Amino acid sequence: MRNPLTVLKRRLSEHREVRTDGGTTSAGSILDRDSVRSAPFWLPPFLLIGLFIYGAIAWNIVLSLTDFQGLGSPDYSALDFENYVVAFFGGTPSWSELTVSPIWNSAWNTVVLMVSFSVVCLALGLVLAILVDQEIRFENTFRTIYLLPMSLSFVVTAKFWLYMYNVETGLVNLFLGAVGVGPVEIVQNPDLKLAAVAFALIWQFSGYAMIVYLAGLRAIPTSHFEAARVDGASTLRMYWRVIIPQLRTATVSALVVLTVFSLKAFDFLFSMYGGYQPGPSADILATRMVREAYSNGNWAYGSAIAVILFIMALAIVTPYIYSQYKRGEL
Amino acid sequence: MSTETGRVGEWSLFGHSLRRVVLYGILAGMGVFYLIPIETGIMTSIINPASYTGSFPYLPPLEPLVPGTGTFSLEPWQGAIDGLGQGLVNSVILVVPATIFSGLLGSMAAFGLTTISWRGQIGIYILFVAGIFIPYQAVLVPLTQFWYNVVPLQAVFEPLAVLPFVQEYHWKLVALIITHTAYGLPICTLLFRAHYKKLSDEMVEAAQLDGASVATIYRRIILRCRSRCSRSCSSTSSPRSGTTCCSRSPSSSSAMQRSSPRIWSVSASPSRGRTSRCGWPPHCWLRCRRCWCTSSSAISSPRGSLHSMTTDSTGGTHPWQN
Repeated sequence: MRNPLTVLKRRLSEHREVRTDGGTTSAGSILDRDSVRSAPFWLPPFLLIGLFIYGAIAWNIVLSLTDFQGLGSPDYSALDFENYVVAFFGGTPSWSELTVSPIWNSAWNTVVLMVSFSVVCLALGLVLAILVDQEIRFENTFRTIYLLPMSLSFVVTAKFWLYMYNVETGLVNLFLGAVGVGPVEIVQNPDLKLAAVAFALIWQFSGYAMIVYLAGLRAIPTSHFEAARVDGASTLRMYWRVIIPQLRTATVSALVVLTVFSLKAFDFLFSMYGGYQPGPSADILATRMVREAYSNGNWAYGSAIAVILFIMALAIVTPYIYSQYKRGEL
Repeated sequence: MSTETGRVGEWSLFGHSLRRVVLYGILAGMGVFYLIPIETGIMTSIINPASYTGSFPYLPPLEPLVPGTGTFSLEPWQGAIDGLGQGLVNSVILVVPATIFSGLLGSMAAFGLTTISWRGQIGIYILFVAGIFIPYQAVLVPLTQFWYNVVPLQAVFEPLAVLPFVQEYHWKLVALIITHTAYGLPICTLLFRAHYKKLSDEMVEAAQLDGASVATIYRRIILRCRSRCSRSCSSTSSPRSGTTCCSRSPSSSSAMQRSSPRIWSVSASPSRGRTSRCGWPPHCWLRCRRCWCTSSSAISSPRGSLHSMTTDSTGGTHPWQN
């Protein structure tokens, strides 16, 4: 993509002196550059995100080095890494008299939720995409139905599933009762909490994985399917050996989006558990961060957790964006 | 991709192959799985709370006919509207401006970073895209500090509260609108850029040759092309013949006289096969009222096309070459 672009640029700049209408142009001043001429369009949005996204991230990093706690305003004169030491090893920080527990529990829950949610989501999405791709009738209807949950917000999903998981009237327990398993407390059960959250999120987002995979499947030439058929491959073997390996880019892009969604699952937990207290078995980094900052007033410690969360998101997204850039698909 | 209907030696059921029957069974079952939480919620919301038993939450209220399902009532909805009315109003106040600003600014940013090509734009664009993936918790504390302690928005709204329809708490909504616009910008930019990449260069090139300014191109070409493209990229209507000549000569166009003539580079990549049609030859770009894409992407996801970063649009013919 870049090569024809640079060639064209060079060609255009060579002919700059004499224009088509016979006139000439002066040598480009800085105001004539395309970047400057198009600046009225991209600069205001860029300044907005520069201030509210990147400025806020930088400020957050600085805040995480302070001892900001409780009411008042942060003191930027004494910066240290104490909050990170507390976050990783626990202990009693200088700004508090209480012992603060490390983040390992919520970090572990975050990773478990992230991995289980995205892997199951992808697998379900792939199966659905293959089924929908069988030249079925009413394909649009099925696709729309599968994608419908994604149009709901986290809050709505949480309330629906809170209702579904209800011990007495929930559909899940009615179903379990029909197959002979007694009513199970799900939402407040420490063993099932995280699974329940992951399941509801899978319900919401597997349609997205399906759409991404369906686009990937449609991009594979029909000849690949036909060649595998002619060679006598069974359907299972054809998909496993020929088709699924070609869905690598679709997998990666869906995986990145889903993983970052699960990092953002705070809204879901907040509405499902009605506040910052989902309990230790469903506590993820996002809920821990908001609880520390807004419930306990440990602003600086909350910022430190936020930085860790940000670095996790960055670690997932950077390789993806870089590979997209290298492939010229950005 | 593989239709097995009627293959010799397969099990069949009512004339359909068993394979297809099972396939449709699974698809319908998954459809039920995706719909039933929503359906249950809606059904329960129209049951009279007094008659609610909870034994059949998924059934509509059919009390006289089916016992245990409750009687029909809009009472829960009345209660919800009474309780959430203020929230609904606030939602509208927040959502409408935030969406408009995000879309407008996102479209402008995508235009400045896509249709006009310059060095280093990809670096700026990467900063936009990365913004999609930032967890909100990573910026919450600074944003709280910013809106409560740095910007005196609350103090601005205190005197304004005497005006009709303005309450003092609206300063929070204004702060949310601005913040939300900033956080909606990255995804809007991504979506608009995906569309602008599909637009043909010919029209833009012709306008540039005529000396149209950047703003003219945005207003006269991009905004018009967008209206159709952003809805759907598959066109069934055929464009007018390519031999149509515009009655107005391009040299007499107002843009020509208005702006300083200069040729600048377009991000042209012939391999991508961008095909938008206007019905007019490219040099008649000023006559174009609306144009539409002809590259048919097989799938348009309602959440937009994050996956369009991986699936390149293929094919399409250049209308002016044949």
